[in-house]
Amino acid sequence: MNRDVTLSNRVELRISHALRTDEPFYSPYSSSASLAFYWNESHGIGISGLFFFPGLSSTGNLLKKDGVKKASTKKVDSYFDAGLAPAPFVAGFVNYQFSPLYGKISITKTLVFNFALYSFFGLGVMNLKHGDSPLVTIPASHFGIGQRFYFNRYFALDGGIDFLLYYGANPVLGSLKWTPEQNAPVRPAYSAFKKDIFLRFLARVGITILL
Amino acid sequence: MKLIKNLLFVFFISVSVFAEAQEGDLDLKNEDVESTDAAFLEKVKTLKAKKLSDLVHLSPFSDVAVIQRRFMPKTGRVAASLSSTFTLSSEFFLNPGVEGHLTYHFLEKHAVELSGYYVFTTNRGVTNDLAKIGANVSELLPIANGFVGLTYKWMPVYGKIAFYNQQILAFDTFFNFGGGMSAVKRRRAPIVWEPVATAGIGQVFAITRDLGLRWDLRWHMTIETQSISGVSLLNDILFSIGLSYYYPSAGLR
Repeated sequence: MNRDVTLSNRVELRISHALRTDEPFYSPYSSSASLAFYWNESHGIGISGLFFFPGLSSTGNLLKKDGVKKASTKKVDSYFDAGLAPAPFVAGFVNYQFSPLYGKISITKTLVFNFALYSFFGLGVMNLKHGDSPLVTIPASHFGIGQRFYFNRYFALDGGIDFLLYYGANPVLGSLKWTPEQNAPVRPAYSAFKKDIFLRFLARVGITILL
Repeated sequence: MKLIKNLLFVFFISVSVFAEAQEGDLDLKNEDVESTDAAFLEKVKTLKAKKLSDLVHLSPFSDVAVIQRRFMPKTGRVAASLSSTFTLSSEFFLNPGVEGHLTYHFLEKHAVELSGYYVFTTNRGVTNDLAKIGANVSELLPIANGFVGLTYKWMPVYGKIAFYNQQILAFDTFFNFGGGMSAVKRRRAPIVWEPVATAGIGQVFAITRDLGLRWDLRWHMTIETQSISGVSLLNDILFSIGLSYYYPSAGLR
């Protein structure tokens, strides 16, 4: 089979925007960039970086401003501010990329695109931001699968589903909750938070440039 | 008349030779069962050869049409699909479940689909952690436990994919639009059926001419009338993967 778009001995730049659909407290948006070198048509190695947008999610804001209401009375029982806990800020990874599937698609018989299915697995670190305190570095992993639709030999539209695995501070802490009769709490020290493993899902879309 | 018969004979021999030669190729330009008659008649009208000996002057790819049949034709077939599914958008709950579709393809790229799903609900770790500190969100947040609806299915994208340049797999990419009713509930509260609009994308990879591997990504927008803050929109994104069986068999049609 003849390939119109080859990967062997080429460098690939990928810029993406992702949505963490299962993030309960913090902004679900993140951006990422990766650079990879393919030593043959299927295998490559590279580096990548993720930036997590600051702020609370709609649920995080709801818990902070509207509070947790009792279902029976519909009155506010308590408030919870996850913004006082450490939140993901940036992450960096070394990745292995695997692209075993290559194909062509026809769109309503008029357009033919080349495309590829790929997967990647990365190991690295993530920085948590905790107020004005210095950033805290924790181990993390980033892996997923995706599809690339090539417009030509150099540009492609890229989309995929990723997972982010990290070992960090659990933002659910009793001292971040307060009742309507109490004042909002102050930011606890990083050491006060319990450490847990977190797995987050990311829906990703972006562009790929092959050099 | 005799000349036409001879031309037709040579044409069919050429088609079979080129179709065999293309095995393993990913050429998609002339691939469609719907256009066979029209393309054939057009080619016969515009043939350059006036007598049998002129056939040697024909160019294979401009004067001779190469028409392949789709590996998995759809027109007039019914597909039954069963998938495992889970909700990707639930921050506080894990929702694994099952999803089913019954699809009638009235054209090669167009179909109507009766769909339904049911998901189970367990708390995520964060929900249990919040409950431990007295912030019980599980009674407040609604969950769409089930769905029944009708959608229009459009399959504009047809493709082939090669695994390590060896095995070739045909697949369709489709889009869904439709609506139905969702079973919405909160913990310890009765189920309320609410109207829902749905849109989705997915692919079917042909394992055989009658069996496909199907994945779906669906967005359900439920109008929730029983929420604490009045009417609100409940968004759910579900990912499912399973098998589709097509009837009648493509080989018997």
